[in-house]
Amino acid sequence: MGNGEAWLYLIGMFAIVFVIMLIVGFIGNKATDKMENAARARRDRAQGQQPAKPPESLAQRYAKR
Amino acid sequence: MWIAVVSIIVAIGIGVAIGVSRAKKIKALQDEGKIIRRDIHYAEKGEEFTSKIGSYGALKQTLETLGIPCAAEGNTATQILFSGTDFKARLYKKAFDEPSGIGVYRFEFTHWKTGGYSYANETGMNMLLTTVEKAFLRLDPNTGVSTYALQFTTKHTLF
Repeated sequence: MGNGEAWLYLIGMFAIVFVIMLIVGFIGNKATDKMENAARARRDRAQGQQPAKPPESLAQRYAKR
Repeated sequence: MWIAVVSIIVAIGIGVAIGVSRAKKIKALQDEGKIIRRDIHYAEKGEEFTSKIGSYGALKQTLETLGIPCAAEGNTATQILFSGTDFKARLYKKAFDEPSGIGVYRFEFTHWKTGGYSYANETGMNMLLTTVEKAFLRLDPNTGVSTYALQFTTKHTLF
């Protein structure tokens, strides 16, 4: 294998690894999104069954800070 | 060896300097009253204001007087759409009781990007919400506020 071919081989390997990592990362992110959205939906449903809190005074909220 | 040590010290120094500068900027905005300290996930809940502000136009005018910190568009009679860097929000009239003049208005972030452990433009979002809250307070000091959970989904994009 010549010097030029070796470089080409190295760049090719890097490109393949990069693309694989990109695909794995993307699939991983999508899976995380799905789990996160399902967990949020469950939490929202649980919260929806609780009675709503009465409104508080906006002025008091600012006074507290 | 010493190059590695110096590089690490310089990197830490730059990190500390950026952190201190950012903290100072946030403190200055808090002192000016442009932002307030909020819960880390505040954008995940909408705010519902029960207020006697008169007309919806008065609210828009007060917001403009206070200075909306981002673009405001689609100003219809009942809804204002805000569009900032890395976020979008809306303020709309949910209900209005004609005899008492009391209205229910909702403010919610509709889109936002996250970055690190917080929102990509946390300061901009905080400034907008603070401006909206101040507008209601200015028009009606007895404004009541409650929160409600937003129905939203997380989505990653490739780039």
